[in-house]
Order: sequence, then C-alpha cells, then structure tokens
Amino acid sequence: MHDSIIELQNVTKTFESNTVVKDVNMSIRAGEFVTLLGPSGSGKTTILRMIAGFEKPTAGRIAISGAEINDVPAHRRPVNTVFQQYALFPHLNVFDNIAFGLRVKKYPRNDIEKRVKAALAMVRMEPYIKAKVRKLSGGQQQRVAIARAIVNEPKVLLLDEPLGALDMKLRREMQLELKRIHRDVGITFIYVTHDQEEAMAMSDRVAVIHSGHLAQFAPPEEIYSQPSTPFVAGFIGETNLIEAIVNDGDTSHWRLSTESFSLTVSKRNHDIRPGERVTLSIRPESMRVVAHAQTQESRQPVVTGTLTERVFVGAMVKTFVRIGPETVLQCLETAVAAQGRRIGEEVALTWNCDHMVMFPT
Amino acid sequence: MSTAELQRRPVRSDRRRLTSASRVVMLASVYAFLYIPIIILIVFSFNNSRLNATWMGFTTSWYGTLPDHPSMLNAAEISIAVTLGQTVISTVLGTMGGIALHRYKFPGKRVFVYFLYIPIVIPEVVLAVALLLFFNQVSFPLGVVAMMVGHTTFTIPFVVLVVRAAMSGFDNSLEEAARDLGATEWQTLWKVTIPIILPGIIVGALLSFSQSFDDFTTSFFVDGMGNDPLPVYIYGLMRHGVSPVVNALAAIILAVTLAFALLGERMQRVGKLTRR
Repeated sequence: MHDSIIELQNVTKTFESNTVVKDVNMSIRAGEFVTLLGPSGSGKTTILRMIAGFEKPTAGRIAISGAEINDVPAHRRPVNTVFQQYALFPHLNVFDNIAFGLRVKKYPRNDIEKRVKAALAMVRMEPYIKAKVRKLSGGQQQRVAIARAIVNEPKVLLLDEPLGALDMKLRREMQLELKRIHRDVGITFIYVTHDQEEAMAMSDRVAVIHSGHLAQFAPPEEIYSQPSTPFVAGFIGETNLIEAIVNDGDTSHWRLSTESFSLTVSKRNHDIRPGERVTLSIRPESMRVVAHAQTQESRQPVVTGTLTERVFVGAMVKTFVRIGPETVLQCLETAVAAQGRRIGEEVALTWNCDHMVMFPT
Repeated sequence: MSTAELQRRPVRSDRRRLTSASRVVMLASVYAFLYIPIIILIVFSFNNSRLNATWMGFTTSWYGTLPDHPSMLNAAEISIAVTLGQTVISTVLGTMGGIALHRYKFPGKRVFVYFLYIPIVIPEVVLAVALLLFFNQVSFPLGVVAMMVGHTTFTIPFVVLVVRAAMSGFDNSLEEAARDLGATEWQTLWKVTIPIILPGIIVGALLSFSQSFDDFTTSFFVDGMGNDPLPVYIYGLMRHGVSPVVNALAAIILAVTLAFALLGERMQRVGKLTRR
C-alpha cells in the first residue's frame, strides 16, 4: 500500500446527469508505466484529468503518495501533463516553453538553464533550443512537450494520447523513445490511449476502461490471456465470441451447446452450473482449420462450416468460416498452413479448450 | 464547338465588356460620393487663400500657423488626454469582458451580448444626453474625466467584440498547460492568455482610440467649460466661417485617425497569420 504513488478510491465523475467515470479503484505503484486503455468516450481521459486536477471527482478520493489531493488545485499538484495536441505556448521559443514551469516556481536563473538543457538532452532536441515552436514538426513538438513536463521532476507524468497526431512510423519511433525516457527518468507514467497495440507494447500494466468502469487492471499478457469480460477480450486483440448454454456433464467434463455445435470442457477449469448461459472467447490464432473429413479423436471441439473469405495480414492469413446463419468465426493461420484453401470449401475448425475463456452471461 | 456557338461568342464578350464598363462607372460614383468632400478638404488645406472658394496656389503655411493658436493646442492636448485615458479604461475593461464572455457560460449570456451591441447602434445624441443627465444626477463634474467615461461607454463594445473574437481562436488547453506547469490563474492570464491574444487587444485599443479621437457629440455634451477637444473646438471655429486653418486641422485629425485604423487593420491581419 505505501509503495503506491497514486491511489483512486471509488472515484466517480458526473457531468450534469451523465456519469462518465463510475466507481473506479486503482492503485498505481511508483515507477510504473500504466496505460488507461479504452474506446473514445470511455472516460479514460476524464480519469487522467482528475489526477491532473482539471476535473474534480464527484465522489471518491484521489491520493498522491498517501495524501488526498481532491481539493489541491492543478498548479500545486506534483504531476505534469503531456497534452494531446502538445499545447506548446506559441509565443515562446523552445527554451522558454520548457523553462515556463521552473520560472513560475521561481527557480534561480542558472539552475533553470541547466535543467532545461538536461531536459532537452533527454528528448534529444538540443539543437532546437532557440527554435520557434511553430517551426517544429509534430514529432519535435511532441519531444518539447515531454521535456516541458519532465523538467519539473513530477512524481507522475500524465500523457493524454500523446502520439495520436503522429503518423504510423513516427508513432512507433516515439513509443520506443517514451519507453526509454520512462526508464531514464524513473518516474511513474500514466498514459491514455485508445490504441490497444500501443498499450500492450508500452505498459507494465494496462487498465481497460469500458463506459466509465475499470474493466480490468493487469499486465498486458494477463489481459490478453485471461480477459475479465467479453468486452476486454474483444477490445484487446481479436476474438471469436460465441454464446453457449451449459447442458449437463459427466464426472470430469461439462457439455455445452451453442446455436451450431456442442463441445465439452473440463470441470476442473470452469466453475459453471447446468442451465447457465455463458460466452466463449476463442482467439483466432488458437483456432485451426482441419480438413472436413478428418475426425478428432480427442475431446477438442470440431465445428464445420463454409470458408467465406481469406485475407492476408502480413505473413498470416485470416480465414473466415461461416458455421451458422448468424455466426462467422475467424481463424488466423500461417500463410503456409492456409495454402490451397478455396473460398466456398467445406472446412472444419478446432481449438484447444485450454486457450478458451468463458464468461458468465 | 459548333459554328453557331462560335458566332455567338463575340456577342457575349461584347456584353461582358459593357457590363464591366458600367461596373467601373458605378464603383467610381460610389467612391466619388464618399471621397470627393474629403479630397476637397485636403486640397483646400494647401490653398494659398483665406477663402475656401477658389484655388490660388499651393502653400503649407496654414499648417505652419497651427501652433500660433494657443487655444487650438489646448484643444489638441485635451483630445489626446481624453483619448488616451479612455483607451486605457476601455481596453482593460473590454479585454476582461471579452475573455469572460468567451470563457464562462452563464444564464442570459446571449442577452448580455446583445446589450453590448446597443451602445454601438443607439443614436449617439441619446447616449450623450443620458450621460449628461447621469453626471448631473451624481454630481460628477463635467470635463476631461467625464469625457473619458462618456467615450468609454461606446468604445468598450468594440474592444469586447474584438477580444472575444481573438479568444475564439485561442486553444484552451494552453491555459491548462500553464496551470499544469504550476502557474496560478493570475500568472496564466499574464504569461499565456494575454500575450497570445495581444494582437486582438491592440486592435481593440486602436479601434477604441480612433472612435474616441474624432468624437463630437458626446464630448460636446459633457466637456463642461473650457475643455473643448479638437472636434468641438473646430465646431466653435466654424462660427467665424470655415478658415483654411480648420481645413489643415481637419486634415491632421483625418491622418491620425486613419493611421490608427490602418494600423489596427494590419495588426488584425498579422494576428490572423501568426495564430497557429
């Protein structure tokens, strides 16, 4: 508990009658790189703005290093923000932008110069010290915005979709840069994005926000392999979601049936009751297409259907198989494995039930 | 293209030439209507004659004799004092109003904005009489300060509207960034908001200046005794006939007002170009 730098307890935010953040509890450790991930309008930016001090929680408590900061105004919080559109001061040059925070805090002149230069070195922008911010490219402005924030040595750096305005190549570059800066300065980063790949690539832990709720807060691998809700499963990576009902079982297995097939799962892994409705989540890459005739000897499920579409994604092939009037499953195979398959062909799909996640509906 | 079309073409271009000729005539008459009196005034301010009737040759002597009229210099001083004073008041208040109108939402805001336009559109003589009554009611002495206050009433709207327009292009996240970096609201206003909208504020101040400098009606009502600013002073001179000295003076006022208005217009353009 005492090593947590930011603590959110039952934080709720309501704008007029619209509740955008609902009862969020989070504890972020010092030095962690945490990403708030969610679709636009999920409330992730509002959480960030409450930590920064631009919005006040309607209910709940926010604490930094154990001290409640609900009533501390933004300019007295030990956090700094990198804004989505950088928000660099257009009337100041690069040096003056970065020095802004130190000047309002009345640092001595020499000290300011030393710190600004160190911050510029950190983001590798030393040659631009006197440049007008308007003349800089998007990526350079981004670096200045980061320097302007970290020069104040905040306890926590808040980043609000900082790479949103950059093109793909620059994004990738800046992701690595941000990781490096995070390692170098060692402060806590709270990063907001709607890009799940970015979140997975950069974070120590990812907080998935779904319509104001904290859906899951865990390391990327766990979020991927053990999503807590169908939403998380669908939002992080791609998945096949199938509605099923629990029928009965023998001593060791449950029998489940769906609209178009039935399957058995081990009782050991799943705590379910007969008659219960569940949602199955199967990742496309854990599915395999097998020849129609081939029958499965094991308890692995087999579903037959018609191959409706094949799409190349890099070295992989995404195969779509229609297994019922409303249900199309997707399967990700290597291009080699997918060779020779034709659209319209009857195929069978199979998967290992250990890689399947089940949610109560 | 068919032959029929080819034959029709010269007719069409003839008609176009006619149209453009008539346009030139129309435009010329509009501009003549607007500017001929002013041109005559300027021309006759260089006329080597006591009368404004016929051209008797070029001279700049009327401008030279301006300093010989101590009461005229006094009027000029009053004009400048009133104009500068009211420019400061209206710019400060108008800037505050413009920022507030942009930033805050409050019930009746729309009505509030309409009320800002009213001093611009109501007849100035009504405003002047109202001011005179008001000053009498509160026993406020007429004179330079009364004129400053009076002019401010109709120049503030210009500043508010221009500053509000400047604020509409202002990125609010800049203020959040300043607060985030540790600036108080006051520091944010002085170090971020005002420097960024400064071109707008200057335009507002210049508009305010030029509106005040050539004001006659309000000044005439509230200037009290012996505090005539230039426009009222000129009106006084006219009772003895329009002398070329008046022409020269009017030409100078025109030049000053125009200079400020043009400067304001230029600033506005620069402001637009430099904004993001």
